[in-house]
Amino acid sequence: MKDKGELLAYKLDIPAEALTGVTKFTVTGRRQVFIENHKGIINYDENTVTISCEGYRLNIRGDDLRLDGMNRNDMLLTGRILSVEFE
Amino acid sequence: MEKIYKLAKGTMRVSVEGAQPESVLNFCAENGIEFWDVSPKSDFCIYMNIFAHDAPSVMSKNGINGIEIRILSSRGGKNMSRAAKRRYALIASVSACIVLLSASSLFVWRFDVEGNNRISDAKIIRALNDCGVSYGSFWPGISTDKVKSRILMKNRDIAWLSVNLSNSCAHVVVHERIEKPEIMSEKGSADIIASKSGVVTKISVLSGQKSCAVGDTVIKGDTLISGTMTSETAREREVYAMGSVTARTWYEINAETPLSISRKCDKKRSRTRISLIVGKKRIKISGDSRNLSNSCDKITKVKMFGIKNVFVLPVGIIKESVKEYETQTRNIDEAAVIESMKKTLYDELMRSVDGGEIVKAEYSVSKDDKTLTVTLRSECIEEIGITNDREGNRS
Repeated sequence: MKDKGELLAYKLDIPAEALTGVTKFTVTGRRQVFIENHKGIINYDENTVTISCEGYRLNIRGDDLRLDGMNRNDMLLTGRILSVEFE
Repeated sequence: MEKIYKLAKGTMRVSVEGAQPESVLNFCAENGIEFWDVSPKSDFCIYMNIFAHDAPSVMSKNGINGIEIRILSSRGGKNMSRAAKRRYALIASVSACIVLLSASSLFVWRFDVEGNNRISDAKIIRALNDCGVSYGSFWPGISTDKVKSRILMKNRDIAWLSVNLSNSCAHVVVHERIEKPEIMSEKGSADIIASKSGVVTKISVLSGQKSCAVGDTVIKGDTLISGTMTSETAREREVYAMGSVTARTWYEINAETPLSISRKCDKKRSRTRISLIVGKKRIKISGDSRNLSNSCDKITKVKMFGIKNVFVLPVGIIKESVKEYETQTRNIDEAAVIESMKKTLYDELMRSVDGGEIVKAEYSVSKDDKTLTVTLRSECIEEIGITNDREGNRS
């Protein structure tokens, strides 16, 4: 269903996160990741943060990772980002 | 500011231990519970800060799914008010300070005057005092419009001014009146006379009758172009003489300087006095009030308590540094002084000639036991005619 929504958004040329609530993450340089429409944190330590998204998990690896802010929809992580992986 | 806000609301540092402590973070995010400074301490333990009023909600997760939440420390909020309850003197002092600060900001403790060149600050402050804006006046009860009108009526030198009263400061912006130039009526009669002695080199008459010729020697005050027109066929008539007369003039200007001068040399003796100023009263705190000697430099620094552009208190500190010095007589560097005097004399000559031409300038230096004299002799060509109306006004 979500995939169909994403496909429809793609066809209509409108942002998918606005139509379906798909997770959007914005990486600024190597120091900051802003995640919108997340589903919560699964694991959190200084080197790895695992975030639950719609249908997959996002692994953010780095050094000295810090959770700077979080609410129901958005989350801000800072630190030295090494990789972002989909699981 | 954020720290004060958090301290006032009360904060807690809590540890969350369990198989998945992240679930508490998700719970907080879901329920709008603010948390910060999240730091993982081990694989199964995280520390975080929350507001004290959110503690019951967070503690409700204690024991669920093996989560153990412990309060590590708490700051501010109710703890602070509980501790303050026993400190009556502190509460009373803080309250008194707040009341005094609030009350003092309603009175004028400082005057800032800007935009004045000819009129002194003291004169403007005196004018303000006459209108009821004085040191310690209750400014919310003062109408700035009335003050402005009264000052403008009494002081013709001021073209416009604004008075802003706020935060214990009377800020006055002054625009001084520009003097009207004297207007000479050209309907009357006037002569052109010589402002300096010299030999006339050129005359051009626009109105009036020539009283001298090129090559004539004139002295200061001689009539060069007369306003009385004579005619063989008609009666005399009076006109306003206009024209220009250029003449060759000579100057001799002297400048003198003593061959030895006195200079200050610092002595080791110095003294610092500190006084407290309350309103207009000065209270000595430390230091000797006697003068060291007649030869001393005094530097006074005044620091009024307050926050810049917010409020100022009628209380401050005056620091007076008195440093004794002695004078030593030294001979001047003659070559440098002569050069400097030559330049000064030339500048003075340029001012005297006022747009004329300096044809020749010669300097001579003479010296006696005590003084050095530099003389400038020069020859110039300049305009010497000035208008002199029959009532004695000159321009």
